[in-house]
Amino acid sequence: MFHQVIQQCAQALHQIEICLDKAEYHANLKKYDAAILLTSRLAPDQDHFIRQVQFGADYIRYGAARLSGQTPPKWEDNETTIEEVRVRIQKTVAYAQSIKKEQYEGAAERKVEVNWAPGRTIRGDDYLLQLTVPNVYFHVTTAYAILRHNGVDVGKADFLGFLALT
Amino acid sequence: MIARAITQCARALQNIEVFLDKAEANALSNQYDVGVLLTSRLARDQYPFIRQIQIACDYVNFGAARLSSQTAPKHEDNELTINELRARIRNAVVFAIGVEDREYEGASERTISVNSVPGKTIRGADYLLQMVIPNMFCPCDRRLCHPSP
Repeated sequence: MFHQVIQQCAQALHQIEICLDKAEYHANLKKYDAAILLTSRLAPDQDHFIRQVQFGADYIRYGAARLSGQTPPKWEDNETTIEEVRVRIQKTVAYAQSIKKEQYEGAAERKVEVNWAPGRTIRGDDYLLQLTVPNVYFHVTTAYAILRHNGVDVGKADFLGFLALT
Repeated sequence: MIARAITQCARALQNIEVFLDKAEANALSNQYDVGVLLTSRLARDQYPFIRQIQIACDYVNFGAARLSSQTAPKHEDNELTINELRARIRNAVVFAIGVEDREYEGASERTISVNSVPGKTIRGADYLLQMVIPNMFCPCDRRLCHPSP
């Protein structure tokens, strides 16, 4: 289940790239610089779009790494253009996909350390369900909502992406 | 894991009640009617706040019900006030949390029919991860929202 959940989180992030296609299209149509969207926010004390993507991506990168007993790759939060944001999304998705099912063995019982609570740990399954999944969706949803609020023609189908219907 | 995931979804819903407390406090201190927030939306063609909550409650209710082979409780979607909304959230949480772990046995492989795509089915695990969880978190559109979970 861990493998599948992390893959699904990666898909949620990947969908933001699809939303960026629509953002560029909208900017082109309405003749404004698409970069404006990247520093947009819904409230003055909220992080802007790029930061939301970085946070969402990090919860996936750290989630995948910690639950599979690896050291997460180090990346700087220095994206400023749409292209750079796309690359950040792509390398996050690729990293999540590079981890195989068997590498998550024992993940549920693994003790995970979280940076912001030094000295404390959380069980792997709690980490996945209480931190990784809600935080990924929190940031991905906020990024989506920032575009939506600014008139970009994104909808739920863009948010959800692939469904394994048969 | 399915039971834990649904419980976690129910907790996310429960947290909305905390937001509602803060909304009421904010409305009081800034002297506006909190009802204004209930019909607010981030974009003109997005559903208002109340509808977002109703839909999120439905995904949790239907998720818990379908994955445990039960019938989900019916709701009229007639909430108008903040207290009615609180009650709706509580009902959803109580129902979801009330489903026992053992009732989810075999849920991952269960074939689920979804109202929004007639004739199609989805495996239980995919239903949980691709529909219940993402939809619960997604702000809903008028255009593209699945009318029922």
